[in-house]
Amino acid sequence: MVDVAPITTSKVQLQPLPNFDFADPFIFSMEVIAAVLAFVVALHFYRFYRLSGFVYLLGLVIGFSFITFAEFLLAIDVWLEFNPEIFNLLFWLRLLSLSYGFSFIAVSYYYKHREEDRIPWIMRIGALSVIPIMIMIALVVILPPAFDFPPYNQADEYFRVFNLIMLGYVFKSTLSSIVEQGRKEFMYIPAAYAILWLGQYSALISNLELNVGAFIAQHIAKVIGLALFVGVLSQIMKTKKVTKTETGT
Amino acid sequence: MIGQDLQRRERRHKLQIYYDILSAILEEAMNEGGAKPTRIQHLSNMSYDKLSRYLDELEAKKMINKADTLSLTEHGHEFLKEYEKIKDLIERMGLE
Repeated sequence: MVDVAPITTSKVQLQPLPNFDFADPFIFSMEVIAAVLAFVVALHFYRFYRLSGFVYLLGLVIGFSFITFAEFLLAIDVWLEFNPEIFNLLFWLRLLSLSYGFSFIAVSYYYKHREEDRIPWIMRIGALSVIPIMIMIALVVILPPAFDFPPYNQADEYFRVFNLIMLGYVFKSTLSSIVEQGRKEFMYIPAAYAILWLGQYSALISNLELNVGAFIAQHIAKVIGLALFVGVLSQIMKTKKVTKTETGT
Repeated sequence: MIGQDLQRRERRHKLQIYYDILSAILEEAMNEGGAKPTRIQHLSNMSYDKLSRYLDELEAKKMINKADTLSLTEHGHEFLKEYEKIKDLIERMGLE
């Protein structure tokens, strides 16, 4: 069975987290693996962005970099044994980074067909990514108790729902594209986004019900989803070069 | 819907158009010692206005050098080498 461990700061008592013997090493190892995987994905996208110059790929680079940062923050939090002084701050940063990352990814997909627009892409991606995040923060701060910066886990549910919407949109976008291409062998990426979606859904359930199954599922789903990205990108890197031009250099 | 389809076709073509233009420049440079825009226009089968726009884009992305004749930069060569990978990425990621 799962015990609960209340975490108290000088101002607030935070909602308890699941607490079982293997929780800390489990979270730490999962977060470190997830951070490394997300970093590898970001690096791959950066390479393709640099090669092609397509700015929407930059959105994916930034998105996965934020996810890397978010996972890294939680790993630090575990490493510091959930130090009450900075626990709330680190979790707020983590929530923001994760949602910001998913926003960038979603905006990249939204703008994938609009490269000819006159306004520089990076400005559009940046602005449109910030807007939903700022709205979320405003709602969190304005909702009762007004102007009282709340413990992270009161906002956690809003952020998780926001992440679910972003990932749902990306999943729909990738699935439509793959179906349109008629390439069933390309289903790994929609599957990866669906697994990340399940991870966020499990996190929501875990937060609402302190369910240990959902708590474990959120971490495992995240690692599997990111591992799928790494697998697909590694496969792409093995794609045969164009013979015609190999002789030209 | 029609607008979206047109945009999609435009973007899908863009990767291919980049490849066609850069391949033509490379081929001309290898065979003739230099690539003239009129010759690239003929080889890539597009209007001069459209070609000019794409040449500007490719120059902005540092893939070609525009002088009396056109030539590929190192980045342009790299794009051609890795074209299949970029195409594969765009398709697999659902960015098509």
